[in-house]
Amino acid sequence: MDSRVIPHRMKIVILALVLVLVPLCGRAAENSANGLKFLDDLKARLEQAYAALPQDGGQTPVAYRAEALARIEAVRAYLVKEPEAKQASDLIEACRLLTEAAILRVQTRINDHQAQELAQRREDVLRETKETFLRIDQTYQAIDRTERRQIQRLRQDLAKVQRKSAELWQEAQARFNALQGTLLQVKNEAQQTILRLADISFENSRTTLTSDSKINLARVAGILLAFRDLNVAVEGHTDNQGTLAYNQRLSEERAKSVVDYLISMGVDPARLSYAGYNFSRPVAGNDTPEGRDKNRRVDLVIQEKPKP
Amino acid sequence: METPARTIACTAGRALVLLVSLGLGLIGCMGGDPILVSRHQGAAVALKAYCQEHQLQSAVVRDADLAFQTGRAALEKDDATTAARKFELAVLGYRLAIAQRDHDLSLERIEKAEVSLKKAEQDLENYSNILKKLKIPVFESNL
Repeated sequence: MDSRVIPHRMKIVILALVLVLVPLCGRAAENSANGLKFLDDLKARLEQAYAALPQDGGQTPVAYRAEALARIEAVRAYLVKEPEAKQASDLIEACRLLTEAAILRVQTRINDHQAQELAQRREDVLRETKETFLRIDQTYQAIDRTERRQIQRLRQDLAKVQRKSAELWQEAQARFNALQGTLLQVKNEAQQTILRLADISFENSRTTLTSDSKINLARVAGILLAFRDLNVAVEGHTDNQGTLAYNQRLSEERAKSVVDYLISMGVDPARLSYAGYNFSRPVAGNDTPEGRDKNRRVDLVIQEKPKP
Repeated sequence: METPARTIACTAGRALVLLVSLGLGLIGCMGGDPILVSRHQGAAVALKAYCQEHQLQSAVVRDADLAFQTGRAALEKDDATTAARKFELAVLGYRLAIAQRDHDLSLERIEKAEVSLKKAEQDLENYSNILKKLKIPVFESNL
């Protein structure tokens, strides 16, 4: 038998060994390659996270980063040297845990930096708010000063108007007083004067003014035109001769005649009003002709216009 | 708002993790399974207690607890190498859990800072509107 010839059985054994070992070696190599790739990915993720650190936050070292990188390199070198190491999975898992922790520390650093920025922005906003609040306070003070000045000015203006009004009123009363003789001034108060037309008379129709009465009323109209702050209420009165309805109508018509005449003299109708009071407001007894004469009258109640 | 107690706890946690890391580094340089197992186990026990004290109960903590138990089981079988590896995995798991807790806290800080900023901006807008309404011409002309 030739010694160089391999026995048939030996060939079968060798073939079987090759068939078994080759796949096992391939799987180990594949596992090792996967492990190395996983480690490379871990390293890349860590570096990517670290690159996102803001410049001013990256000056101090981040916890675990150096340790994780050193461990990844050490395990990588070990796996290259010992691809079939039994503890490979634990070594890779340790790298993963450490790298995940390092990435979280990097992200925590980034988050803290962002929180600081937000806090700084809040401080800026609070400062601006405080300044705005101060401006509001100053504006309120300015408004208050302005209002005080305006009120003071209005008071001064009001006092002037009141003084002027009082002067005019005194002057008007003086003019009315000058009409005594034709007009009987019966009441003279601060804001009201009642002029009783002493000898006012009407034509036969009993509502048409006589010429003499018109002359007296024209004097009153002249004063009213000069003093436009005066209003006049014309009141008609009668004696008790006749029925109430008759005297009511008669007193109203006579008061209206006086108003119509004053309007015809140019007095603003808005300043005039009239009313009839029949014989309800006598100023003397109706049992004598003299008393009835006094009761047949027209009163002009002169008032200052109400101020706005 | 983060409480002072929480801040102290975070700082203490980081200091603990740093000390553990330094210890492990020294032991790693010295070598020797028994010492390594002892150090890793000690660190794991300390970090496990810290996580329990601060009620960290994430999946990462549960995995670390599992690794810790596996390490103890290996130690009972006198398998120091496996025990050292498992205890170290537990240590790294607890460190990851603490890092996750700190990360979550930082997110809370951002959220609170955003809310505070938004409120401050709203206040500023309100006051600005008031100021605009106050500056009406009638007053400005008389100032």
